Amino acid sequence: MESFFSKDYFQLFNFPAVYDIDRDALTQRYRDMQGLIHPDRFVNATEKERRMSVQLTALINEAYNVLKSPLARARYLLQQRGVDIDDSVTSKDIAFLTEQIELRERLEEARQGSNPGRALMKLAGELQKRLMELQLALEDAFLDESPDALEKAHRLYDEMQFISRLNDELDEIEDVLN
Amino acid sequence: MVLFQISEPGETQLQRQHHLAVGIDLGTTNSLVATVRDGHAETLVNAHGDYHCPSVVRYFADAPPVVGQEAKDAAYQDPLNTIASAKRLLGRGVADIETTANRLPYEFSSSDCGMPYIKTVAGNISPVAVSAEILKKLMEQAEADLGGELDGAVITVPAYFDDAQRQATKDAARLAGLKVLRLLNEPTAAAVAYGLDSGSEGIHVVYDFGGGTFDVSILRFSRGVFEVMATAGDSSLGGDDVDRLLAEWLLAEAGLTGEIEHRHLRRIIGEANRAKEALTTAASVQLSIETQTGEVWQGVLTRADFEALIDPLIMRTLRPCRRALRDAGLTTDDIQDVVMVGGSTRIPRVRECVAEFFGREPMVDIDPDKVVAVGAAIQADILVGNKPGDEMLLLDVIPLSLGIETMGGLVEKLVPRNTTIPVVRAQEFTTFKDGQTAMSIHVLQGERELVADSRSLARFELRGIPPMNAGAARIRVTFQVDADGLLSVSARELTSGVESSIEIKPSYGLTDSEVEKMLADSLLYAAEDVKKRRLHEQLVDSARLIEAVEAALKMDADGMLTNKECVTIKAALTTLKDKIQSEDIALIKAAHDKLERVTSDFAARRMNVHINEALSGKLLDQIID
Repeated sequence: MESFFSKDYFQLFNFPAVYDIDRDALTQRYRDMQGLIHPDRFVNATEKERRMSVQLTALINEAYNVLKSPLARARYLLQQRGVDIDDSVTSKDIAFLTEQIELRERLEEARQGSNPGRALMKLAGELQKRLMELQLALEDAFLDESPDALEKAHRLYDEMQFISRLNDELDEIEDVLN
Repeated sequence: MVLFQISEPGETQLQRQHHLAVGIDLGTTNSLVATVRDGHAETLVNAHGDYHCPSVVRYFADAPPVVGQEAKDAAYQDPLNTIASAKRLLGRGVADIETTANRLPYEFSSSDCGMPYIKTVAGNISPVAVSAEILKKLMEQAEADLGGELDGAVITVPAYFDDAQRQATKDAARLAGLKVLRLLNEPTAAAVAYGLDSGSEGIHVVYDFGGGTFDVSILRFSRGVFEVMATAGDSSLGGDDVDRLLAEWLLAEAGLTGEIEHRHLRRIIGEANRAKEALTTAASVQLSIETQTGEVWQGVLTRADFEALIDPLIMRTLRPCRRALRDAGLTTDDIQDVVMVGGSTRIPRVRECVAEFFGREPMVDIDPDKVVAVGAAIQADILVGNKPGDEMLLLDVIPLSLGIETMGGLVEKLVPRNTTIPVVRAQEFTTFKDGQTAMSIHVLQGERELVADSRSLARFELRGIPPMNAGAARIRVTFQVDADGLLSVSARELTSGVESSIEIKPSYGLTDSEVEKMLADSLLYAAEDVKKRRLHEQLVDSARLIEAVEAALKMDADGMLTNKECVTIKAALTTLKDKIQSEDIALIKAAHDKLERVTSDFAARRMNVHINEALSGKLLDQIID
């Protein structure tokens, strides 16, 4: 039991610790594991086994959530490689800061414009596109073995996190509009 | 089969008797019970040949309550003592229901536990007790039909039920003396009923518009696994609202104003309900109601007018559909089919709107009233162990985010909505003042950022923190949501290693001791029956434990246990088998607990070894191939 909780998420799924992960294979493995350990398989077992099943299933769920999400996976890999991620520290990258201000302004304009539904949809499309680009850039950065590659990955992660959050806010605004 | 030997070794399965298990759809308007018989899932009918039991309970001053059609028929004569739609009140607080209650024809009284109690001639009755009566009725009906006591039941709940509502449902089952194998979300149950019929792989939407709740779930079905991708809904929107809207229209048309007597209101709502059902097939319907002055008002309602009236309600169901799609990261193009569940989906306009929204005709192959109970029965049959080797698996989600109150009345989300369950999340907190030894934690559920807008689930008092400087203590609070979607919380102070005591007081619900007390005082069963029920529950539990331990010993005693351990376990096993004959619940319980205790390490070892073996890549690859 302890050995499971001491494994990292990639080991748990028996996957190599890389960013460019095979999503379909991951999902298949996740389901196979669930088939073995899910509490539904232990309804008739002893109390101890039932409890362990809940904890193990929760662990597998957590690992799957992290590995399947491009953002959470990047964060996890960065932390695995010793990068200290502090969300409260603001970036000093001027280009990134400018992008943040611009995108925030555009979200505000879209919300207050004459046709918010359409403007928001257009912005959402752009954010999605940017997220895809960042994901590809992160794949490269994590493969790169040069000394400043991790720092680069960290910067890409910060940007991805900002855009994801903005995207969530946009979703909430759309939700209210509907 | 490497897979199944872990929990269900084949040899003992063959010797095992067939377990009696049912699925129960505990509905707002009607409830149903179903079972799998000879490999076929079917709803059970009562003595009158009806498969649905109206979720109505009538209380008397000096006689046991009656449940079902008989109670429903009395609703007009005895509106205050005849409780319908109790499900709307389950797990709700007094403040919550103020809006609803104004329109419900009962009188309420508040209680210590924050739940509204309904005033009847039999005393103040909690909604949990009303639901327990319905469950008990269905259980007795099933036991008479199946010819034995039940080993367990799967009870369905709306996917959008919050923790308090789920807990209240489970409490009702406990009061009724029913062993709950699992609480299953209604749309998931419906998908199971459909999925096994068609065997179709792909992404399905379940649109479940019932008497009192609306749910929408998006599920992926692939290789025997049902995975809920997202769920959304409104736990206070249903066919009742259609009736009420129609009743309000009737009142306005007939010129009725001011205070209306309960009995009269019941009759008008009844007339509204009749009109709604007639308009499913008819183009218009004749209506007549009595006014306050005793005159009779007559009028006509066309289907077009009816549709215009209820369109806003239908639109309210489409908003959760949109949100669920977005949460699942899908568009309507990705959807393979839309399954219709719940009585309100009989309304033609509802089908039209759903077809338009999803761009395809919804599926109505299985009776929308029966489909949830049938799915629950299929799942119950699997969970109770009647189908060894069946690999169907349900992966469900938590419908609403869980969080904790932080400084400034804000909610910090710990588990976001649509997270797959079971889930465990931990968060560390620290003290605010020097020498602080206690801490109050407020658990909330919902999507809003402010505490004031969220549902309060519980307040926890954390005591026994060693006095330290402010900010030095590290208190780890762990949230665990189990496969029923129920939350439990534990806490530990990390620097000292002290396990802090936790006191749980549900905001709207019964504590364990209150349930115990209700069970003891209950009108549900006579004292002898309560004793018999409890003994039966204990025997079922112990028989299950004996089976599990014997199977484990047979498989793994060699190699995993020392001789001494093996002797200890076998002795405890023999003792339990012996005590079972005694019919003394305390003796059996003690022997049961002893066996659990002495097998605890063995269980842990087995889990570890087997899962490690099975999850090693080599074996997994064999399984995949």
